[in-house]
Amino acid sequence: METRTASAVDKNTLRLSALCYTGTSLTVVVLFVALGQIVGGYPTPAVIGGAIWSFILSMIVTMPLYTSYFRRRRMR
Amino acid sequence: MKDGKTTKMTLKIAGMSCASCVATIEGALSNLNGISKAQVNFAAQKAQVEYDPAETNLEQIARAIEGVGYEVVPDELSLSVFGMRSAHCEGVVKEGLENLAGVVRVEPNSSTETASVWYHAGIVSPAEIKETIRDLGYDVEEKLEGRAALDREREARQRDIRHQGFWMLVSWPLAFLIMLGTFREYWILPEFVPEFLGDKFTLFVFTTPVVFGPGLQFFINSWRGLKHGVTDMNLLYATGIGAAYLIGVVNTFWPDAGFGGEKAVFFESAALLTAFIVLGKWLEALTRGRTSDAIRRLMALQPKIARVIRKGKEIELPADEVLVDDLVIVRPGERIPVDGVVIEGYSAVDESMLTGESMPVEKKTGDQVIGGTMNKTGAFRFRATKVGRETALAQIIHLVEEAQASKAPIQKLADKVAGHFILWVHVLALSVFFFWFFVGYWRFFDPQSTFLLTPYALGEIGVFGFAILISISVLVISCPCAVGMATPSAMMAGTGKAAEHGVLFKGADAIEATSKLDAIIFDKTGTLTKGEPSVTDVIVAQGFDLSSAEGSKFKVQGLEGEKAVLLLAAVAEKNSEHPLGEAIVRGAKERGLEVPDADRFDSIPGHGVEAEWQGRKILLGNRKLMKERGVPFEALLSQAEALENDGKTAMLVAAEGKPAGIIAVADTLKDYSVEAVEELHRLGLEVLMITGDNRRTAEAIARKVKIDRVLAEVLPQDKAEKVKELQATGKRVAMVGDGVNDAPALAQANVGIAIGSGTDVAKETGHVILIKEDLRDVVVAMEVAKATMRKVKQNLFWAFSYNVASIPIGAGLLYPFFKLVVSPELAALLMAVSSLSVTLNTLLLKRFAPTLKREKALPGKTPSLEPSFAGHGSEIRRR
Repeated sequence: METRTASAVDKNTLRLSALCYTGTSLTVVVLFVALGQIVGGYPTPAVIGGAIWSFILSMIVTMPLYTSYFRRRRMR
Repeated sequence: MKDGKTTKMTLKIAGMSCASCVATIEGALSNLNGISKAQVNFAAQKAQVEYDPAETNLEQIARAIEGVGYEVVPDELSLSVFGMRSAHCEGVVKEGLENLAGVVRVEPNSSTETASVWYHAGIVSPAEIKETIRDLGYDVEEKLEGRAALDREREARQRDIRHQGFWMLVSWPLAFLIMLGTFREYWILPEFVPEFLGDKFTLFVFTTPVVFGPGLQFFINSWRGLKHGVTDMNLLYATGIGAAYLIGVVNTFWPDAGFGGEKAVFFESAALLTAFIVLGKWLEALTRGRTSDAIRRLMALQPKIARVIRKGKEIELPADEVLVDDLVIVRPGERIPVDGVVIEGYSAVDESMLTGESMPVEKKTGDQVIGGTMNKTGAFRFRATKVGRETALAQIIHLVEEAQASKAPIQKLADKVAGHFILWVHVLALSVFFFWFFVGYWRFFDPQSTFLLTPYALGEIGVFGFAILISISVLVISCPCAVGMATPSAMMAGTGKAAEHGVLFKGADAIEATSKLDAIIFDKTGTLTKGEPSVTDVIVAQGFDLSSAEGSKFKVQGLEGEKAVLLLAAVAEKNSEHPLGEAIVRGAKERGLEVPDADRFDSIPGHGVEAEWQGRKILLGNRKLMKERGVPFEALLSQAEALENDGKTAMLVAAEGKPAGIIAVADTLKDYSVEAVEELHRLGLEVLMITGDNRRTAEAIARKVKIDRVLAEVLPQDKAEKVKELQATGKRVAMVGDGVNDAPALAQANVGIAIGSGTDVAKETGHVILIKEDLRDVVVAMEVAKATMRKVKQNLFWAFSYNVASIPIGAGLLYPFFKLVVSPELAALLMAVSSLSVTLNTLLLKRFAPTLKREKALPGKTPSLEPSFAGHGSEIRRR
């Protein structure tokens, strides 16, 4: 069925975009933790909390960007 | 269908005129890589294509078909999308659907909560489209028409009001208790508030139902959006509420986790944030319907029941079951169910709800009646001519709905901003968090400072708590709801207000263009003037009357000079088919004269007519005719010239070889032409007139109406060119004319105003349609457009100002200088207030009344139904 083909292609697209936005968000987290280490003096829970918040916000920002980018690319 | 690697789909094709088209399309498709089979059915106008999706796609297939001169036609689905109330939601629906294979185009409209979707039925089904919208977090139904749509829309809105109202009842009392508990140690509260209320576990117990009751909708909706790769305002609320609540939970149960300790539980932030957002949603649902009151009122005009005669019996049936040619009975006080023509009876009908005309209109046999209007005095029967979607009311509703669903150019900026805003707000929230976590806290932090509306000494919450609360405030305070609703809400109110006065804007772009005009061109004939000649002056020759030697030869008793002259002319012209002759006969009849047949009648082409009545000769014609027949007209020539200089046609009348008088015939000005042009001057517009008439006639009319400039001797086909020339001088031009005859010029103008379309509004070409033939409605259109655009600009100003001012404050810009920072709950309150202020400002447009409509009630301005010598441009002058 056409819809099945479409969902298979969709799954690939979603997988690829998930890989990208998770990767980017994790990069932001790493950046955050590294900055925390450089500046220094932060309690560990604050760094963990900050890392989680940075990850959530980064995911929210990058998820739609990557998803629609890969979908557009697939349509082309 | 899929067979191995191939996929099958069916496409609708337009433009196939013969069987050879089949081979052309099949040839084009088979040349495309990845197509395994292409079969075109000429009779069904469809193509069935089997293709490998890895090698080609719908777009390439459509391009191949279009490349050989045909069109792939998508189906259209009109949907009501409940809950899609902002420009951002529009973006969510648009993006979500456009990601769906087979969807070609999506036009969502948040102001009407509707979406039009063009799709290929062979690839995606309406059910899948609706399912996707539901997945995005909106309720969806196929759009209904007329009263059913009204009922359904009202029902949905009531449900929404009830739903949010219920959550208000849950969230506010709890939020109030939570606030009391949190502030328990301050002011005089320790004396009144029991100690247990301030306990963090009690606060947790009170906050949890708020977050997972009224607040749950934001989490569900934002998750649905995220699944489809789109972000919406719900996400702002969800991250704000969720973060505040989670930190509260951590600090309640694990106070040593290092997130600010047991004093920094933020439960009041989560609860008040939810309560304020729900309040905003409730107020929005409450006021949303008000901006479209006009369309609601129009829909409510549609009567439900009609009384029809079928098989000789009077029966009652639903109005939408009336058929064309049915005989319909209307009694006093009843609404007319459909459009038709009166065949028996007499009454006065109030058409104000459709035309804006406040005076009831008399209806007698042969007159048209409009469905939805109110019968006042008498009973009558009429034959139905238009039913269902063809009625004037249905067409008007359709036009207004379309206008309300369209977008003005000014809205594009707002949509662009609101559409991409959410993402940028999250980027900003992340940047703000980084700044306050790594820089701001260490450089500016004062442990004694507090958030506005919270009791915490900030020293207790630590670097993470401080940075995350500012980050949450940014998320909440930045919501662009007000920007998104600024333009569409005003446009809806404006188009509705115009429709109340019989002015229909075909789109929001028409309103914007109308508000910016520099010049307005009126077509002369049929627009400024009535378009048919009528008798304007009758001059009696000195010495001619019925008692004179010539006059007494006619056995016409009791007629004075000018009536006698008019009668003689009418007798001579009675059998004439010339428009001037018809005008004279009509003029005589209107003045109560009975016009007998002439004994003999001869037309003298290019000169006039000669007739014989009661054995006496009558001559009617131009100077040349009189000269040839030796009638001494010298004494009247100066008056004839004066009439001609006024743009009138002067015809000389002679009886038995002696001058009897002059009859002047001209196209007369419509009622209120002068008044309308005066008002347009007051609005600062240059007013022009365009006509095919000679310059002298045109300028005579222009002088009367005080037109600034005359474009005379312009052939009908050249009118559009003249409009273009004026536009080339940098002016934004409106053209007012007949919607059918002046179509090219109306289309060329920045704004084409079709006047006097009556009940056939769908036929019109203009951007603005005036139902009545009242030129003052041109002024009404200008004033409503200007008022609407004023409102749009005010709304956008307030909405943008709010965001421009609030975001830096929310981000903590004031903190380094004043040690002030906005708490999340205050951010939510400010956000709700900004949306509310825009809606309330729009509602002020309901009070707007056009200048001329305010003055219309003045006595002496209502046109008389009775023709008279003195009325409406007709005048009898006596020598």
